[in-house]
Amino acid sequence: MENCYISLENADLLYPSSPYNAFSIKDLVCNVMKQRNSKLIKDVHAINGMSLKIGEGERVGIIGRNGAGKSTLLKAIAGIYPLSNGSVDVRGTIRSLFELNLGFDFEATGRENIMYRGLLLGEHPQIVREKTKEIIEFADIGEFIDYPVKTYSAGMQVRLAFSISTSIRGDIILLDEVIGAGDASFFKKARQRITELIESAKILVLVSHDFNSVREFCTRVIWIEKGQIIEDGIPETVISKYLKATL
Amino acid sequence: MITIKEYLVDIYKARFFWSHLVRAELNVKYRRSFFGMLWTLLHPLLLTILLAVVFGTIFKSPFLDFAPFVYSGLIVWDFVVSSVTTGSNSIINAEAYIRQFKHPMAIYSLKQALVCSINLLIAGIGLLVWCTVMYPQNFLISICALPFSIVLLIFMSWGITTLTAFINVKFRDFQQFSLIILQAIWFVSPVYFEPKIFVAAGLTELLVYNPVTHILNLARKPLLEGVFPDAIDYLFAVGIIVALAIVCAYQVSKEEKELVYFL
Repeated sequence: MENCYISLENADLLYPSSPYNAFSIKDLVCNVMKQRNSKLIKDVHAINGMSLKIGEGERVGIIGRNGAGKSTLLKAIAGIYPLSNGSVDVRGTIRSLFELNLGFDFEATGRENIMYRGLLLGEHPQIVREKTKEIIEFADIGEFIDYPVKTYSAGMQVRLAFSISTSIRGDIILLDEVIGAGDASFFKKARQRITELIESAKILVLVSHDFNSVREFCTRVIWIEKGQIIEDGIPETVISKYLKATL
Repeated sequence: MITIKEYLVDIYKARFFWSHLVRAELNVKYRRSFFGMLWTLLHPLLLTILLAVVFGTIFKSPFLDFAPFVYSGLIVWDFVVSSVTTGSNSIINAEAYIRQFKHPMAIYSLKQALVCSINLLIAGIGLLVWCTVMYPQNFLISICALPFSIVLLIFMSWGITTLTAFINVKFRDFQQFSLIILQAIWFVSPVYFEPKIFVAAGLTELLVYNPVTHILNLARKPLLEGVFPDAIDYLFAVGIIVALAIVCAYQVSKEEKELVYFL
């Protein structure tokens, strides 16, 4: 029996339009004065009847155009976005690396933010404390670690966020375009770190527009368009079909 | 479908995260302030002196008796108001976390309830010291009765923060409405106005059926009068908690999943 897997059955995910169609008194006055009605937006069908099974040991790349539903699929697997219909079943601890800079407390120091993010990702405080030294060394931000994060440059923030997020291992790694973080000198180190992280994971799902990374890390590629699977197979075949169709 | 028990277990599993958020919020609030956390005590204390002088003169109440009444009213009412106002933003303010990791939403309202409760406790220590000096005979009863009162107030606060946080995510006008409603409740509650004023004005029912009276009694009866709160006070408090728990359980089961789309 498999220990880790991801399974989607007839999954549908619609972003409801209601939060963006909210009507304010300002809209009311503008509509009366300009004699026009605000255009209502519709629900967005981000995942459309998708069925998918990813088993232990698989390294899966998700490719497709912007807005195809790639990041939404990752967030649905992570349980952040609920499905409208169908089911998602995940076995194994998930480690997701999405928007790296999200979730920093800018008033708190870098050291405090290590604890913050480590605990957010479900780690035990003792483990985070043990890893703190190594995280600081990897991020290479020196004495700035005891300054508030709001004093950091954008690059320093990315390095720290990357260092924390990749220091915590999991069975299932969900990566969204975070392979090349930071400047050129950090890039090489980051790539090595990501490689180690992927090697230690039982399942990888990687969303990327960088086909070299997809070819390097993945053993299976899924091309999605408008929330549906167009092609699912070995990397070279799927990527060449995708490039042929889009270029 | 997740059960209430599983939901509570998930909250427990995330305990390190939300307890860290509580500590961080308390630290950040007074960062680089000379008096720091002491403001939690100083603010109501200084305000009490001001209010007790003004209202005491108007209502002809002696300062030494009236001031602890005002102080207790001030800190408990402030606890209720901050539970509503900061609670209603607790999920909205946690958007960055919610978009990264799936934790139960109620941890963010729990964090806010605990922040409000700790502020109440710190301010309450001032009241306990004050009352012990003025009414030493009340100390023993206070020590026995207050822990249970505090537990009730914490649960009540969590109910309020969860209820208001869920509503405010979808209806952003809620916070403004709630401030007006709170102001209206304040006027008909014995926060600064002594009960004798309501009785003299023939408004005794306003006291008896007002939940705020009973919430205030949880602290006032032991500290100021040296007696346990009445059964009716506990009944009101438990009733509010049960009602809030039912509504919040409904909110969590029906609305929690889709809340992320409204952030």
